[in-house]
Amino acid sequence: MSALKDLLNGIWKQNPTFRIILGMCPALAVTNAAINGLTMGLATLFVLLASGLFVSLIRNLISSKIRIPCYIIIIATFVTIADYFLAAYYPAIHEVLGIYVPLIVVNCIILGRMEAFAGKNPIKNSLADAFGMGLGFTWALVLLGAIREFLGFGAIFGFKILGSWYPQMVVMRLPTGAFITLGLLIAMMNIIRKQKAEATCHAHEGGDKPC
Amino acid sequence: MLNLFAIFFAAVVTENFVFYRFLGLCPFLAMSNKTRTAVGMGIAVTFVLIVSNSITWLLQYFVLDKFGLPFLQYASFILVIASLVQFIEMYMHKYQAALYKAFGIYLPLITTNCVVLGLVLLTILKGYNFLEALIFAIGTGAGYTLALVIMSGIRERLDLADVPEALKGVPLALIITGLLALAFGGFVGMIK
Amino acid sequence: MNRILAAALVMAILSFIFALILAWASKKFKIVESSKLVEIVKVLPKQNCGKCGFPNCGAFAKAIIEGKAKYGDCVVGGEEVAEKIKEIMDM
Repeated sequence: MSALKDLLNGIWKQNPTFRIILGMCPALAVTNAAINGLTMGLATLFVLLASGLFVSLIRNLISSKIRIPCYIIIIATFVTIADYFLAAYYPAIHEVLGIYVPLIVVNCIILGRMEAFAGKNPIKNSLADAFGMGLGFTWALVLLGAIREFLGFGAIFGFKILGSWYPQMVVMRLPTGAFITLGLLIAMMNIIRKQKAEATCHAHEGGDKPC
Repeated sequence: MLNLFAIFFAAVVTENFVFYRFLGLCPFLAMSNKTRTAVGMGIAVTFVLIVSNSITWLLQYFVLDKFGLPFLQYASFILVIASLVQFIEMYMHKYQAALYKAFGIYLPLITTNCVVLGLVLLTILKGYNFLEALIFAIGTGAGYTLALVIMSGIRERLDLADVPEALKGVPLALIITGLLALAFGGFVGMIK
Repeated sequence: MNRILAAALVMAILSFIFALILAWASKKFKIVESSKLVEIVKVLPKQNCGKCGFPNCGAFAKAIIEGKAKYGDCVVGGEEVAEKIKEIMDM
């Protein structure tokens, strides 16, 4: 089913963080702990779904010239809702995430998907795409957060794993740790991707496709 | 006076928007290949920062607060920024054609540059008056330009180096940014 | 209810103001059709002599497109150039 393909697309093949390299500001800023990454990812997922739904609904009604401002206002509305929701029900995490929640408005992933997909595709596919991208973003952030939290605090999701013998890598909690970890992760994903491509290539040995 | 200097200095050095606040990274990684485009981008962003910060400051205190509509902040602010960038784009297309072409897609992308929205929101959060907001904007733009120029200088030299395939491009740029962040981190605590 | 109305009103007014400004800008900063402009400049003698009444050949070409100059105004180019300009403008 085509919608399923759209959904799976965002999770690995076109993962927004590791592949398309979008939305890096929140990916680096709030991933000092896994739970923060998870919350940011889910908030972004909500905005993606809600905006994708609306944009896809009215895609034939908006003139092409003013589509970008329309998309942005729709996105801003849902980000406001998400922000107030977090402030009300999860005030502690909301405090930690700070201005990065309103910055979801300018998260290139959302505007990018509205422009590239939801603005041109029926509702079912748009929702699938939004869901896939949101999930892809979320697991990328959780991974990044888990690594930084593990090395920086010796814990994951608040559960202390390494005892007090572990000299916590403070650099992992700082911007530097974020940049370097993400850089190395993307490099690793590149290697994995290349090996997968080569493996598929060898499987088709003797065919007409060059390796 | 000292207060204004502190705001400026913090925005450029100790709380640099790229290395400390993780803002403006997408265009930072994309436009820092050549020093000429880096400087151009920095100047364009600085201009947008100054003008949009002024407008949103007025908007917040004379409209949103006056009529009790704080929840309109994100939507109205981004509307201001998007319109401003659109306006500048049209102006540059006509009067600065060469520069316009050099920027390509990255000029309209200043709208989604987190630096701009981040700045206007932070200004309100910190409760700056109009003059402080102005200095904050100038400092942020200067800091962003500084980050871009440093990065482009390094990357121009890296073009000649032998980089492993997997690290080419974004991964290496991120690692370099991390090391720069470490260097800038040494300034933390200079301003109390 | 009052606040919802106020919010809608503020957003509507803001959007209206910006739409007006941008509409004005799109006229003020309008780019002359570049392909025809380039084509006309190509067929002009490019001596920038000013005999047509414009500072240079580029300005003359622009004036042609805006309808502010006649095809035959280029004295140096003469009839030949006027013909070619007519062809381009009729495209």
